[in-house]
Amino acid sequence: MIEIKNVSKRFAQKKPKRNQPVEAISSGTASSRDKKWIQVLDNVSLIAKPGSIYGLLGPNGAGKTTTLRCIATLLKPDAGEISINGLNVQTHPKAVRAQIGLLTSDMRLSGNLSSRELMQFFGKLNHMESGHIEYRIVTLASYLGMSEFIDRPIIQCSTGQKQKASIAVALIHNPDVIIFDEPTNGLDILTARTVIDFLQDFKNQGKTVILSTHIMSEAETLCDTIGIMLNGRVACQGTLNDLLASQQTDSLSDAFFKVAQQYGGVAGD
Amino acid sequence: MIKDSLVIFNKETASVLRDKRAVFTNLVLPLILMPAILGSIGFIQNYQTQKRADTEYSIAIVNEPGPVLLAGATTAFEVFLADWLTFNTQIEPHSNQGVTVEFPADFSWQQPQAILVYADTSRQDLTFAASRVQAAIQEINRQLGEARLAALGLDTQQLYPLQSELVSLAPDSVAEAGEGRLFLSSVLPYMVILYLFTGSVALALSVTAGEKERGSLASLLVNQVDRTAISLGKTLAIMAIAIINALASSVGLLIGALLFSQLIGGFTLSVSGSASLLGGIATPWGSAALVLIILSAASVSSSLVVFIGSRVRTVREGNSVVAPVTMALVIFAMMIVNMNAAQNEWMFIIPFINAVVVMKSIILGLLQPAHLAISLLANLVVTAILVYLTAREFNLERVLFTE
Repeated sequence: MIEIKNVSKRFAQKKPKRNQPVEAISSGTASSRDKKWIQVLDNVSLIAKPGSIYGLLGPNGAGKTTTLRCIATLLKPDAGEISINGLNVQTHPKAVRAQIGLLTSDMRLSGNLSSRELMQFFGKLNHMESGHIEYRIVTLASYLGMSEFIDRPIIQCSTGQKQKASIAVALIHNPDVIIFDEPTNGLDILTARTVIDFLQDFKNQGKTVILSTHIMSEAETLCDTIGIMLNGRVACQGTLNDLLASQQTDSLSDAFFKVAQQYGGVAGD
Repeated sequence: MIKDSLVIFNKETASVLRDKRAVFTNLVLPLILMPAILGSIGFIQNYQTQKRADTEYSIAIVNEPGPVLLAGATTAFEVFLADWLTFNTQIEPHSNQGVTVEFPADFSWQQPQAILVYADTSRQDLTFAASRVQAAIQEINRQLGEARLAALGLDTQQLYPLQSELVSLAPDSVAEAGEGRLFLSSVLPYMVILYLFTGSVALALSVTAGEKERGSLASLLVNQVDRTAISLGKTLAIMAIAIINALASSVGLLIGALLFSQLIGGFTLSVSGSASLLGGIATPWGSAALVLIILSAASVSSSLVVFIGSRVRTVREGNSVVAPVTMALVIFAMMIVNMNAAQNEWMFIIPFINAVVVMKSIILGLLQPAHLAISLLANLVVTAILVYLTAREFNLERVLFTE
């Protein structure tokens, strides 16, 4: 389970960019003469439960990636608390890392190592026994349909094969919590469908899945709970039916635009 | 932590060694490049020297004077010149077909007068011919001078009575070192430092800033591995590649130098000749010290480049930082290589400079164990600091951002 309570996060920007709207820069206190601060997350709270998929829906720069990076221990919140299965990410980052698998859309596996070697590498970094690593490789290769290319250098694999390899690498240690940042971004329709099927399967295995997306249909079909992020805030969240009812619309995109109209603007990711 | 570092080291080195282009660039190319370059230069120079000797040059002599008495016999200028150059005189004077030697119209061997030598100095062959003509005139000058002194009952030693001779007080190992070894002691140390950098920069930036750009750094950081282990593992991998590159480049340089000497100076390649050239490196103590100091310098250079790579946002930015750093180090190393380390002991606590000085001392057989120990310790401390700073960098949020 992922629990986020009142998390805020801001990034320092040394000097405001030319022509940047003044309202895009937070009026928060500056630590030095040159620094401006951008409020990227503003009092974010959410809960993602085991056996469910939580989808963060929002435009670019809404704070989705920052939220996921905070959950993944890569960024430290300025305020608030995040816990994974009861473990605080700030006080127990190593223990948290043992329980999470992260996949980002900008992660591009490359090089001359094969999927098998990369899985072995990440398995060792997760301090797994070699026997257990081999078992997981066989399991994941069979599950993800990787047997054809598992020993092929990544550089020679197709985009879809690389994506499967990335998923396998993220899941080698069999994490309870899966964090996917825009998992279908840049993928063709067939590969995207395969990834969506896997996500649904992970949910059925009882894992906690949290993902970010800006694709309405993906959130609609895939997510049990949807949080609409705007300007670093979770503007509203709930099941698809909850959102439609609260905004009195028939489709998620209509609901999204209604919420966006109320909040307007983006803060930066 | 060490176990995790070795896991990262194995992955990074395996990745590089599988890359045929990287293996060619770091191992094969350095072994063949310098021998090919220096061998080609030697071959071309040898060929040109031979060709010059075999070429018949065109020389026009204007106002050729009568014969002159040299070494007890009268000799015509044209006959004297034939000892210096094969030539024909069938050309138009002052044309660009050859060299023109113009004596004054009222020339006399008894009076000091200017002889003009005309040549198109943009042409190598004519410049060479002109220099031979000038050398011949200089020789006539010398012989005339000696003859005139002899006529006065004097010899040149009386004209220049004072002579000096340098008596070396340097240790035997230096005094006995030939020009080749002295040259090697001046060149090899900073070349090794240069190779340690140049061989590792591309790969070091690829495994640091490159990982940021590929988005794969986040996957590494989200694992249970300690940041210091990541920093150390990457540094060790880059160090291994840098050493392979530096050794291959140094061996290539030595082969090239020997090939060049053989082609140009008639140097015969032999085991004893090579041992004489290598000096202290050829002894067990010297070679062990050399291995230690190269390892030590490689650890500093690798940890420095990995640190730079972890701080910059992109490979391009990394290259723009590393290039001036490398140039500054090499120029500094060239400047200090001839300084007297015995009187400047501070040199042994500064990385790279200590490596240059220690390598030079090894080649000249002057290395003191204390200097080696201080250098190794200083480099170890600096490496540890850089590895720590890189690990700290991996803990900072900015390491994830490429914009």
